[in-house]
Amino acid sequence: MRLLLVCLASLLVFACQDSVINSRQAAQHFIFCSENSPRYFNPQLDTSATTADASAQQIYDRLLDIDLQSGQLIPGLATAWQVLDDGLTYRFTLRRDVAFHQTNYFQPSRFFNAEDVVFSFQRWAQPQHPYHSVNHSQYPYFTSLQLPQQITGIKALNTHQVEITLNKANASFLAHLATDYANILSAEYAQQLLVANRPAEIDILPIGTGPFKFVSYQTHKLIRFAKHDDYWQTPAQIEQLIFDITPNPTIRFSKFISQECDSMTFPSHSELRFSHRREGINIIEETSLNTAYWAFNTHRSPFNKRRVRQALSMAIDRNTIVDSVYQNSAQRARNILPPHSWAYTANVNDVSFNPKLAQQILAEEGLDNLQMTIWVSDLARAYNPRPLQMAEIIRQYLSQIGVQAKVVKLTWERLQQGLQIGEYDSVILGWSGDNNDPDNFFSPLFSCAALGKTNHSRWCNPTFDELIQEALQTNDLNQRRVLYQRALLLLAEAQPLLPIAHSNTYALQHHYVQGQSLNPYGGQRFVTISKVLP
Amino acid sequence: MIKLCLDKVFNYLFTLIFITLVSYLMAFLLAGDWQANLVGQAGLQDDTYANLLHSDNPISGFIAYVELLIAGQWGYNLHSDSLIIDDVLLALPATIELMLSVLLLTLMFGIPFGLVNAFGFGKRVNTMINGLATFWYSLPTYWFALVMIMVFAIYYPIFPMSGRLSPIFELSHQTGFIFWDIYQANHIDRWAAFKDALAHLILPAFSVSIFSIALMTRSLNRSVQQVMQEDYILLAETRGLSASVIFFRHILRNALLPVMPILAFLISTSLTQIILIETIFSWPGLGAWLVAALQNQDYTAIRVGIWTIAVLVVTLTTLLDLLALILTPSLRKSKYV
Repeated sequence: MRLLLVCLASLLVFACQDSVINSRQAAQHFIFCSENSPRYFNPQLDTSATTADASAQQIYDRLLDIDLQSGQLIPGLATAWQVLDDGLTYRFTLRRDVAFHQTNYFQPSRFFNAEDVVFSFQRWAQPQHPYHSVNHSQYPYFTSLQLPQQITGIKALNTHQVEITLNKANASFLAHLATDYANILSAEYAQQLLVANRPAEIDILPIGTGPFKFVSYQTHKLIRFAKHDDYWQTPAQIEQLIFDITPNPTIRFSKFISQECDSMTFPSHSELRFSHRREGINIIEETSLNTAYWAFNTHRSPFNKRRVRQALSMAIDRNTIVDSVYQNSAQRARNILPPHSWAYTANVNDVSFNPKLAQQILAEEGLDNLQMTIWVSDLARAYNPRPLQMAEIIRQYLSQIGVQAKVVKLTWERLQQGLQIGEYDSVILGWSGDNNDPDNFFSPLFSCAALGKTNHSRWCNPTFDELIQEALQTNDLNQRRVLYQRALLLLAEAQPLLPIAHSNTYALQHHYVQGQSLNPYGGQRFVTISKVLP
Repeated sequence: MIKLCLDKVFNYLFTLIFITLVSYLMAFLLAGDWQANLVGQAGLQDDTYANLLHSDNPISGFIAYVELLIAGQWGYNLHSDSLIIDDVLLALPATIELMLSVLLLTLMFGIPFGLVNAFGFGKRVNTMINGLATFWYSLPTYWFALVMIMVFAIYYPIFPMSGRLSPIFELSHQTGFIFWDIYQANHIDRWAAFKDALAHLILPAFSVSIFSIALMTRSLNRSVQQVMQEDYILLAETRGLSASVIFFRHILRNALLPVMPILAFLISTSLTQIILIETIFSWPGLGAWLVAALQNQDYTAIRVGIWTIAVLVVTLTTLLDLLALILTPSLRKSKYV
């Protein structure tokens, strides 16, 4: 009997050490609690943050990168670049001795060179390219900007020089090459897969030059990455990076608290409060470039009428939303641009909260008993920690002016599919900036070319498009600012969507994690992370 | 004796047929196309299920269904391409492992606590233990699991609260019994992995077993009290036998016997509780799989999942009843068991 108790006690003692792995071992593994399963490991294929988080800064590199402090463009896989012919030709000098990943499914026989750049660009730019329709993507970021139409040629001048020619000047072209979506793939790997008749694997078993290489993926469970020892920059300090996929936010936070995860992002306000009080948890705050919005489907009646959209926008008190959904860790949006953008101006007439006027306008339009749907996904995003709650608040405000709104809750995947078909009345979404260029908030969200891809208000206005295009033709910042101000005035008048808030973004990490910062321009970065365990 | 055993077996078979009939009829009663509910969207094109889908009358359909179940052809998930039997076999070892741990804990704690009357600690200790047991017995397991997580995983991060093993260890699914898989794996630090798996097992196992331990304690307590009042105990004491001899040879054996049938009840109750608890601990067993199927409205998986669990519970209960019958001669005398 006593023996039994002794055995049990010793068993418990063994199991008690947290994680039960000695410090040296545990420091080599980093577990990040992520919130969704990516479909593919290639950010070219969609604009979802889930995909970007899992692949952009882990597996891949880009020609250019963004300095996190200044927002300026810095060399990536391209060491130098020249802009020639009045902005119609871009010549890049490529970095030497950059190694691709070595895995059990691919052994590179050469370093990175111009062939890889040409392949990566041609895949999305040229519809007749053999890899263009692999995994059936529309490459939404690039096509919404009409870049494939603007690029007239991509060619390798020699093994380490690439030249890209455009048919018209584009002041934000270089900024696009620094976004997560402009990742560089391995042409040799692509060729190998094509020969083996398995081209789809390029996005499922990915190969890149980034600080981590792909090991394995169990859908809805975890993603495993291993350190790339031959990374061209300082290699990562952890041997194994694991994404523990936990969609349920309560369980995700609980796992973080019980130290089963080393860090997580998008905490809700109550979780932030708990973390403030709790010792040993660091909160990283970043005022990100993002905007949450409520978009109307301008292709559907009665939302094709400007007055109706304005009326519905007037019915919502956005300050309440900033209070309750964001718990004041956000700024109310005055227009689509976040205040940190250099093209931001407060001089645009922002729609004010006026439910009486809203009701009056709707009555004048003959829409006394309007019924509408509000589509929303419950996935927490950088720009919106509680989309469902936001939808509910909007629904309440609408009911106060006699509009019956139905909140349609969908999974992120179903929402994306539904948005492409276009059978919604309105949708709650947002946009996180991918670079420092203001065009990043205009073209993808409002241009005619982006309709159905990233332009979910489906608004198309040729005058607006002209303004935006003109702003891309010049490098003079002042001129561009003036043009963007005119664009903002146009948007304020047309009101295709209601910008709601610019959210601060937060990450939680334990005190033993060092070196993690939030990337305001894109996916999570882990290359600088280390764990200092006692 | 033989007659009683045969009775039990007959009961068992009858219950099995009833369960299978219910799971068959569910396909027709649930929403949607009955054929898809039976075999899943992917199974509509599969020839294996042709007999079932195109049978002439419900009875031959049912017979075809039973044949398919026995052959291991349980159909596809309603919306995806995976076979249900694959999913079940993937999830089953996790549930069985948790079951066995609960059983072990029940025996390890329930028996000593239940026998406390016989140790001679005094009335106060006896009342206290009995009172605690009654308290634990009436706690809802679901709530208690959450409290355990709150205390031992969140406020004092001692034990992990989800999964079976930390993702740090790259262990692929071999048999599904994690301690055996760890033993077989050569590429990881097996001792660290073993300790980690044990740490993951503790919270779920304790949460579920608290009810069983309490019940075992109470029943054993009552049983011991009864035995201790028997004449032969008094005789043994008069004879001058030592306390440990009296305890082991007379009290223990006689007190444990009536508790056997309770074990059967405990196991089936624990299994039901495990099914509910698994979601809380993200324990990848049958319960978590079934709850996911419910959320996805995967009618095929729900039907087959319910059938699997019911068969498991009924089989275990019958086996334990038979075991009790063999070990307890007194039960053999009664006509109605």
